[in-house]
Amino acid sequence: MALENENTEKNENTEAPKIGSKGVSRRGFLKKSVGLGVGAAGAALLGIEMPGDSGKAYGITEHDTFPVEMNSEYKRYDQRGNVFFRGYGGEKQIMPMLNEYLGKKMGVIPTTGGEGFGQLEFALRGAAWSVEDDINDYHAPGYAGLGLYKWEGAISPNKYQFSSPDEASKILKKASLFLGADKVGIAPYDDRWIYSYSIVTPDLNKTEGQKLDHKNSASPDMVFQETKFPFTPTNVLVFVLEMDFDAINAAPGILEHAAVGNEYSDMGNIAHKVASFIRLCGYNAIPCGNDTGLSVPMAIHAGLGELSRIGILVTPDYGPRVRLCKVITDLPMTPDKPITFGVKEFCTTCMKCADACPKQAISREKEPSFDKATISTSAGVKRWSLNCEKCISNWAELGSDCAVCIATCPYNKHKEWQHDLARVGTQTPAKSLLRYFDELFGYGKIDTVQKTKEFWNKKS
Amino acid sequence: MTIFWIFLGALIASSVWFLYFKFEVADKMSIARWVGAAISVLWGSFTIAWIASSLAEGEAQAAGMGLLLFGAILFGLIFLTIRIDVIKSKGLKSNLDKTNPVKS
Repeated sequence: MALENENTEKNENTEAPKIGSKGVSRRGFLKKSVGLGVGAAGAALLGIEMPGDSGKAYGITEHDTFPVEMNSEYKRYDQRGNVFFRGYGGEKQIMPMLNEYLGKKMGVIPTTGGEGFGQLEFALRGAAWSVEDDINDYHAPGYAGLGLYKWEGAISPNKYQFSSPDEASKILKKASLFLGADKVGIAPYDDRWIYSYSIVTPDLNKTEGQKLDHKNSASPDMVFQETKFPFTPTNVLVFVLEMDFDAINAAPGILEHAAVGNEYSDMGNIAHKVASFIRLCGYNAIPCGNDTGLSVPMAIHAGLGELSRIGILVTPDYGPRVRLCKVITDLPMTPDKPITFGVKEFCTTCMKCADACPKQAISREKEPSFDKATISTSAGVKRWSLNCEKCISNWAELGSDCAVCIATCPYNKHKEWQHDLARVGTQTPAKSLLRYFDELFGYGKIDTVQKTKEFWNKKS
Repeated sequence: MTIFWIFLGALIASSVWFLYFKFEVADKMSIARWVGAAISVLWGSFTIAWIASSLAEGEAQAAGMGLLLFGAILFGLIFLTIRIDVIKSKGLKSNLDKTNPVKS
């Protein structure tokens, strides 16, 4: 019997080869290794960047037509109707608010406030705005042709021959990113987005001594003219510049204003450099910040993002925490297609920005409409219309440009995998729950004092 | 964070091998349990990754809520995985009782 048992054991060993002292079968080892590989791949998937980088990834739909509904009431925007220029133009309701904002921004009127409004923050803000204020002569309200945005520049007599518009697009995008843009898109030139009348300079015909400084006060002197280009444009390169996450989250304090100013200074820098590149390739180019045309529809047309409840652009990568600038050119390029990624649908259910706005300037209507909030609003565009008069009144009180709406927006997140997952969730029936979870998880809280402390203490 | 992702991969690998050596070899694993275990391991990894990523971006509340909510779901998954065969056999038994009622 003992011999039989021994033989049986030997036979079993031959039929099912084992590895290791605990008797693991080779087949089992292989099967579990496959399972392990799947598990490891799953972990790796968590680590890699989720779709959304290219602007054409999962959850992003490209469109052949402009994705915002417009009707026949739409007319090219007359920049004299812009709330800033209504103030500069001496409108009784707006001018005092603009004066107060400009005075506080430039330190002419002292800003009251505790932590978050200290000397360090003011110094940082001054430094961040310094290129825009000193070199660009504060173009920000929308003055054309100032400082780095000058329309003139030497054009190379040797026109570089791109093999195709596709190649031109590729080269210009590469150059733009190299020269400092965070994202770049190409729109076809569209007259609709160009101001019918542009404010050229604040006081063109006055001597230095007579000038009323538009940086410090709402000067009633303006020079405006019909917007015309010295060449026939074909395309617009639109650039997205990300504003600092931590500084914006300290809204509505001075740090937030520093983040805005920092990008205003970079806007001029980048638009100027890209325009120079195009000119050195032998083509015409006009660098623009807030001047000459409406940046938001141009950016939508260039496939950089979608219109939101706030009335500003929401990008897939940075949400609404961006500034825009552009270069108008006659260099033929293949344009990008406009995109949507569920922002409009999510905005109908969220309303976090409208609830957070200290002046209730953001529409609380569920659906976008053709209604106009103020005379500064463009007619004929189906969207949530921002009340810019209420908005600027808060700028005047704070001496900063608030940005509470940007800081609280659920799309305003670091570029991390978990937020990409949540962004995919905005396109599911669960989207109505996402605002609740956004608040539950503590995102977008407004606490200027705490966030200012965190900003200074955070290791870079 | 790179080290963290390597650590997480190693943790997943270790979890699977632990399950294999501890339970499969002792013949305590069924297909249903393997499926449950795989979901639990992936969910657990997701929970750890969420907490680590939230802490890395300075969102302590998001990390805490992730631990609470996703951790609670993880416990549920582990419980189900352990009990799955018991639940299955109970279901089978009650079905058998219904189809073959005991005659008195």
